[in-house]
Amino acid sequence: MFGDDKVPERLLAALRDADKGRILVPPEVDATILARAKVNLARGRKHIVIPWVAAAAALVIAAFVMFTPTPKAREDVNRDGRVDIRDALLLARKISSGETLGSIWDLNHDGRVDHNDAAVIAAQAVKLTKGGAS
Amino acid sequence: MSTLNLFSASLRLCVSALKPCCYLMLLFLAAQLSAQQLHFAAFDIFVDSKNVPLAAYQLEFSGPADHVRITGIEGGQHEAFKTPPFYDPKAIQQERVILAAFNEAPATKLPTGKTRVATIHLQFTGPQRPDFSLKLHTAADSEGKSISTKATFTQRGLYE
Repeated sequence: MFGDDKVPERLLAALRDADKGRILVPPEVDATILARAKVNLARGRKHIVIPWVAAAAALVIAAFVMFTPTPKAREDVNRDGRVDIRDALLLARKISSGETLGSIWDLNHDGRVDHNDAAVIAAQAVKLTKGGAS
Repeated sequence: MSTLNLFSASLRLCVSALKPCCYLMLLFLAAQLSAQQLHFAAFDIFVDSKNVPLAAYQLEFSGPADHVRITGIEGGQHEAFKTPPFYDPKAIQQERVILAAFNEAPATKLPTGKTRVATIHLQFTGPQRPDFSLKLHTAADSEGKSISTKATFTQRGLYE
């Protein structure tokens, strides 16, 4: 594989000549190469910064989503984070007590707040589409 | 031995050999019929609130999807829960239902201790009664506060 018979004589001669002496590179060429290398390195640093900025932004967004309180459903009367039969009971008690209730509690949109609105909450609590606990 | 006797003996041999096969076939058919058999049952649902008056409850009853179909829901025994509870009409002909009811009557008119709050009627197939589960979501006293209770169920009847 390394037999000399396969390597052209001209190439061998050129290689021998190249090994004989040093090739002098002018200092201007050196300086130009160095300057361009510096520019390239500076560009590379900018590319390294971008993923870190993206990661920080993702963290900020995740924290915002996690710690911002989600708007509670109107039907969640006791504000415990879920709609269940206790909310229906509480609204029914408010209605029966004669407490003045705003139109926000008109859950069936019939223009008045009555026990049918409590029934709306109860119906929501037993809906099967929720896949288990309400 | 005459030809007739030989034929008779062969026939007897064949019949005696086929007998076990026939029995096995009958057993298989009986098992198939039993698996297809439809049963109807009623399950009473109880909530035990001990000495606290029960004003509201919410629970979930379910069985295996491929064997059970809910056919009807009744109210309970105590006056406060006599009317049928709230449930999703979609639960009829399904294997799972969420039941809930409330009564805003004063504490003196509410049940304490173990009380039947509802009855579920259902149909199921198969030779054995499937396993059912009951999960209490919440229960409340007359003030609407959450209380510690226990939910149980018993099978009242089985109708073929």
